[in-house]
Amino acid sequence: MTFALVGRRTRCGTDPGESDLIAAARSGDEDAWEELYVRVYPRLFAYLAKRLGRSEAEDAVNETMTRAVAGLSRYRPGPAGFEGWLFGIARHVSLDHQRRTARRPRHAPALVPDPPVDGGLGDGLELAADHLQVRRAYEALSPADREVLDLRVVAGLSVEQTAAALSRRPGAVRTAQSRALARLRTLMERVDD
Amino acid sequence: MTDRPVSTLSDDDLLELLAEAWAPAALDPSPVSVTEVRLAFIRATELGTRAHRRRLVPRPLRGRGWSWRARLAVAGAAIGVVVAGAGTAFAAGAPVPPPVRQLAYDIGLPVTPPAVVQVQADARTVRADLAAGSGAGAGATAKDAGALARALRQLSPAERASVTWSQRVLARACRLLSAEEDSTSPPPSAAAGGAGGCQAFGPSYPGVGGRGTAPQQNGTAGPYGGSGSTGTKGRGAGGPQPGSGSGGTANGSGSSPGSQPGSGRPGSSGGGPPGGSQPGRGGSGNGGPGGSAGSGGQAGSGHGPGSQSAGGGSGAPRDGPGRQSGSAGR
Repeated sequence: MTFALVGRRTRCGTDPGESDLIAAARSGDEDAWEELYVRVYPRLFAYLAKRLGRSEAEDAVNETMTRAVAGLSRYRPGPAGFEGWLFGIARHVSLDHQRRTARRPRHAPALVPDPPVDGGLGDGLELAADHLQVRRAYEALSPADREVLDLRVVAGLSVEQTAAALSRRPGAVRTAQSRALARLRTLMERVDD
Repeated sequence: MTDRPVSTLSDDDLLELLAEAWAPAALDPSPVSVTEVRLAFIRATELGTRAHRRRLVPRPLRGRGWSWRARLAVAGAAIGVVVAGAGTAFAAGAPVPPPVRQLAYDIGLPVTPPAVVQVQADARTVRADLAAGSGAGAGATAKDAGALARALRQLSPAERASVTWSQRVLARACRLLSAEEDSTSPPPSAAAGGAGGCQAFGPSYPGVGGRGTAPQQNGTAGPYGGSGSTGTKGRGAGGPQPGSGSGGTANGSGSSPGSQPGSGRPGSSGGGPPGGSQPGRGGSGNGGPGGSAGSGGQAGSGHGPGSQSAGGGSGAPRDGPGRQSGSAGR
């Protein structure tokens, strides 16, 4: 089985204007906070939906933003940026939620891929098949492997941002990521066979 | 788009493939979600603003006082300093500063009472005056002796017993002053009766009474007063807490401790000899410790200054226990 690679860059670093928005939000500007929210919402929702399921994601996003605004005064700009800090909060929100619902059966992640953004019908079907295969292999990974790759892939964070969100060193994140990808590669080959 | 087998994909390629597979949909938050986030932001900033305001608003003055913990800490530190200072001074044999000694004495530490130390210091001064002889001057000696007598009056009987040498020094001073007065002036006049001799530094200290020209007869001394001695010169002394008694046949009444003014009535005649610690003829104004002035009696025939001068006249305001100083007796 072969896979089509479409150029897509993960979002790294600090978006232009982010620091201005944060400064404005700190000074009480609601619009600035809303702008930050709208900017990060798709990836934040995808990350939380991946970890908790779509039905719980919306509440988890709101809880994340509520915790974030409550602790906005404690945020210190750094190499991880605002998103590294925010996704760290989101991770804790998801962990808290998983603890609360530990006795309940966990929501199975949706394996149905999102519709392609562009491309023709044929490409879309091909991409959907590829994505379904990748997702199945991905879900076979251990929770520890998925935790790193969720932040790197789903949330689109850089290594530094992921390290900040996981409270680890960037080197440890790189190592964990490399091992997780190696295992994923093995799983994909098994699926292919 | 590149078709490659899985095994040939690098980590970066695999990450890109995963990112495509998990690409988030282009979602916008719902209006409800946006509203909730804005409300949460407003609530948080409102609370933050209130907290900030609380930090900015100065606390009321009454709230700025020291807490009981701070007071306790300061008091403990002060006591510690006193104890350490007193202990160090005691161990080193150095004199303890008066405030430290007073504080140490107040809190019950085994230090010499400050009043006793004061008496010792005053006695040393008087002794130095006596040693200097006439060089010190009668005035200075009388002044120092007066201070010593006043300090002695502040002591309790037990404390006084511990400084008997001070009393001896005071008696020596008294004798010296009396002798000098005798040599420089004939029988004390009315004025001398009030100020001369030991009268100058307090007439009513035990054993340090004023001179009398005749033995005391009927007068009784106060609690600390000695009786008039026999001889041509009585050395009776009234006590610091004057007792009651009547001198001779005079009508002057004795005094009683307290703040009531002494009373004196005019004496028409005096049968008892003057001197000693009690008034002679004539009513003597007298008062208790710290009392107000007694009313004066008229002149009697008492003679000679005693520890309580005899004679008529009005009693003067009293400024201490047992101090009775009528005006000049005759």
